[in-house]
Amino acid sequence: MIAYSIKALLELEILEEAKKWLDKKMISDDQFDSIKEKYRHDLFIPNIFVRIGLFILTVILVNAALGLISVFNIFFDSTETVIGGFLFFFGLVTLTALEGTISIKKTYRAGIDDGLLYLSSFYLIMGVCLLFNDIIETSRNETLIYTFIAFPFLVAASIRYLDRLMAALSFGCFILIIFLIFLNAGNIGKSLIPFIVMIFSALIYFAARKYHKDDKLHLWKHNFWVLQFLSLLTFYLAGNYYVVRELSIEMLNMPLKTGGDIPFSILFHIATVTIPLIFIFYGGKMKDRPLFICGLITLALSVLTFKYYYSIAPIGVSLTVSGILITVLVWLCIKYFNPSKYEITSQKAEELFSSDAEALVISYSFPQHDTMPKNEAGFGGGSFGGGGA
Amino acid sequence: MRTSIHNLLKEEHLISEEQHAFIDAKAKNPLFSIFWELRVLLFLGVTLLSSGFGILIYENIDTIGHHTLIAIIVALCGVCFWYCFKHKKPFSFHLVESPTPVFDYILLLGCLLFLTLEGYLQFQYNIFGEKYGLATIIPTCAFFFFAYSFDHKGILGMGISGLALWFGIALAPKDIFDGNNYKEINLILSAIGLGVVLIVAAWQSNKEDFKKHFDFTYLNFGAHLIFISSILGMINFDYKWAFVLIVGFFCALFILYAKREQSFYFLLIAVFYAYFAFTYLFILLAENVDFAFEMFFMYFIISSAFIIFFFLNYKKFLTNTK
Repeated sequence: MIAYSIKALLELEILEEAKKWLDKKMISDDQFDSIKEKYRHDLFIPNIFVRIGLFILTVILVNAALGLISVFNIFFDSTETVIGGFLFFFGLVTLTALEGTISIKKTYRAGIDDGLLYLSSFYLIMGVCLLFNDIIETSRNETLIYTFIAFPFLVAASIRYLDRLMAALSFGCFILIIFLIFLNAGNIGKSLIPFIVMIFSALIYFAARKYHKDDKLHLWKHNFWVLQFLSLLTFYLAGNYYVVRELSIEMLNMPLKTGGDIPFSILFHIATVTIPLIFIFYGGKMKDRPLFICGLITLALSVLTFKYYYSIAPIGVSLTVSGILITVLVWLCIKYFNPSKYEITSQKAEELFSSDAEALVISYSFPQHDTMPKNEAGFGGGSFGGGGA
Repeated sequence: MRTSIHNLLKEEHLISEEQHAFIDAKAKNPLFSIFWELRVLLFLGVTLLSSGFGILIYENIDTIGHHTLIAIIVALCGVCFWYCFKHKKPFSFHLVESPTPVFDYILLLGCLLFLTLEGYLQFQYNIFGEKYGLATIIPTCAFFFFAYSFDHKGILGMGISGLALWFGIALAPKDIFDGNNYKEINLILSAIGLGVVLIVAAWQSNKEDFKKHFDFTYLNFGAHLIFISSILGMINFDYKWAFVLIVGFFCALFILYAKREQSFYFLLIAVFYAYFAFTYLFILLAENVDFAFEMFFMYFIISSAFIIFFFLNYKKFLTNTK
């Protein structure tokens, strides 16, 4: 199911953890070397700057190849179906190249695989959409069909390649599908959209939260982190007064008279105020980082919402006052939570552990490495070297 | 079987009992750190405060009264710098950790307010008259002084920007293409000159072991300044080959530096600027050939494949001097 070698990914995780201990001088160099010797993965994981470079170059290369083919004019008079078929074929070629690089070059988050993954998904989805464009065009809900086509590709990509961006896009696509379905479901459906989106977001949030801690799904934990974060955000946005009001006017053609207001407006006011506070409170209480960060972001959005509708203060005053408030509040928090209160600290965490490392599951057996060929690549190739200082 | 990493490594005798116990205690540490969240908020607060303050002054310049305004700014600025000097750690040639959690941000706020004050004085009383050079060099010197005495890389960056402004160019990235008249060859040459000065400064601070950790800031500004201005020179002026030589020379220099210092960042920017310059030359030379389009696509395929191959083997490249 996963394109990468599970064994290598787990070895990588152990090595990264051991590297943190080494940096904190909790284990000796010799100990680290023997851990490195035992868990020696063969993945090619370049430094972040090399990754960016490789990503850009891959995109240039693949698009130049596509351009070169199209310059030869074979599609000069072709219909959309033919072009769609060709794009789909080209997407398959890119996908093969992706599988090839992963299995031969052992790239992992190396820029090449990221680039090939995004491009091939794009070409495949575009290809299918164009291929059936004649049929789709006759439909009333083109966008809905496009999102339906894209969704399985995005989900498959986020599962097979453990890609966080693809997980985020899948989630966005899913919410869009829900939104579009109810947008076309008559007036009652339309006015239910905020509640429906909130319900689905909540369901996805609790599922993602559960699976995030699930031992069997350990490798996808970053994807579930992204899902938790995004579902909290859409949960809030679906209840935010500004979003609901403006979308009602824009998308649902709901005419608002001056002084008039959207239905259930008091509910949305309450949601706009309370949701961020609940997020922050439970985020701190349950030590749940996505919840906590989302709380801070949505609090800022709520302040902006109320400023937009109710504040007459000029921009200079608002900026200064909010600046003073934030600075003073943060200063007080730093004092209050130092060294710690309610098990919350304002000091830098001992960054020894990824937050869930204590529950790491190694339910896979590790074969001995003695027979493996010597590999000079070593641990992440000293990717902790200079540059980013 | 579920087990954590340190349990697994203990079972395999890769870490000792004591280490395991220590790590286990750390792993069960119940504390939830909000350090980074507070940092981001603090930065946001300081930025909002100083920009809001600037707008307030600009809007109310006629109503509050100049003396009151100046007094307020001076007082705030003074409080910031008083705080910094009070908590200052003794000067050292090496890295000095910031003494309190909010120290860096207070210093930043003080420097931004200082700029506001100077701009206000110039706008209202025209104290520098037409001597814009003087108006730029005063905060620049102050920023360099603060950067070194309080060990603040951000202020150093502001100081370097001021220096570049004094050289007649605004260094803020968004202005680099539209805000400046790069048609002036003198500007290009002085920008390259300043870039060289910055590189020398980085080299010196490294060699003399004087605030060694500042060398990245110097080099980074210097590299981008040299590459962008010489590529612009290449595009805009007739002496293309002279600028090609400059780009080539500095790319080689930075690649050698990257190799010596194991710096992936400088490897990346040197390769990319070189690729950009080379591509420009190629298009310039080949645009009148038949089948130019096909050739360009071929060029991009081959060249990017070549550089991908280079990056795939960058570890060998970076390590073979050792």
